[in-house]
Amino acid sequence: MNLVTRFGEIEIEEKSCIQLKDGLVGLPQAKRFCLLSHREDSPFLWLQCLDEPALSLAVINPMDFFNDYEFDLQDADVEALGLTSAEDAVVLTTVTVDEEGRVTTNLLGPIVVNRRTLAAKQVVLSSENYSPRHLLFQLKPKPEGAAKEAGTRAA
Amino acid sequence: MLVLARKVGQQIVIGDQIEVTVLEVRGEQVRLGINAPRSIAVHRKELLEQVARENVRAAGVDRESLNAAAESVERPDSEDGSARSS
Repeated sequence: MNLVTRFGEIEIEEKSCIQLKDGLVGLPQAKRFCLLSHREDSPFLWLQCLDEPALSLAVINPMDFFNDYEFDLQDADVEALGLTSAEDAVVLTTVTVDEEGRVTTNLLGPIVVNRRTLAAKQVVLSSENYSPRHLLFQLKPKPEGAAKEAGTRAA
Repeated sequence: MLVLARKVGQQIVIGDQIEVTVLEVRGEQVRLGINAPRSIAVHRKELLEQVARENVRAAGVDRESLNAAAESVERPDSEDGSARSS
């Protein structure tokens, strides 16, 4: 199917879709997603919604950044996802970049995907060890003002 | 909203399967015990709200910001480079 996303029109194979039966937390209508790569050598991905094509969330596989990120999945979630082994679970966490250039990820609300069935669920951990805005790194401030000025002068 | 007054040790029952017990009241804090089937998720509401807020923020990340973030990761030797473990 063709999808007009905020990055333009793309073609998507529906059979490779991740299915979140309950949608995302706070966005219950957003149930079907596909993963789009951000670009070469980037650890980031776009979690692109099929139900709302304008909705795409920046995500990472948190294991790329944190070797020690782990949590217990509730029995009900294990059942809902049809997971039979931990190796079948792929975890994604959302990423944000704020005005100050802080790149953070939400370790409190991971999205767990069964890689065999593509059934997925966003779980909310009760652990107080994990933050919804865990700092990945800080971007260096962009010399945006200077670049703009130079551009104006050149024009 | 239904409002019920309860004392420590007293319970309320929601439906057939959910029991809430007042365990302790200390100043402004109330400790509750909740018995519910495993299929029913019980959350502190503010945590759900935080996760919902992060979802919306992650959907607001533009491509330029993510490009800048990816460049930071690709140059882990830089001063403010990432903590990415390979």
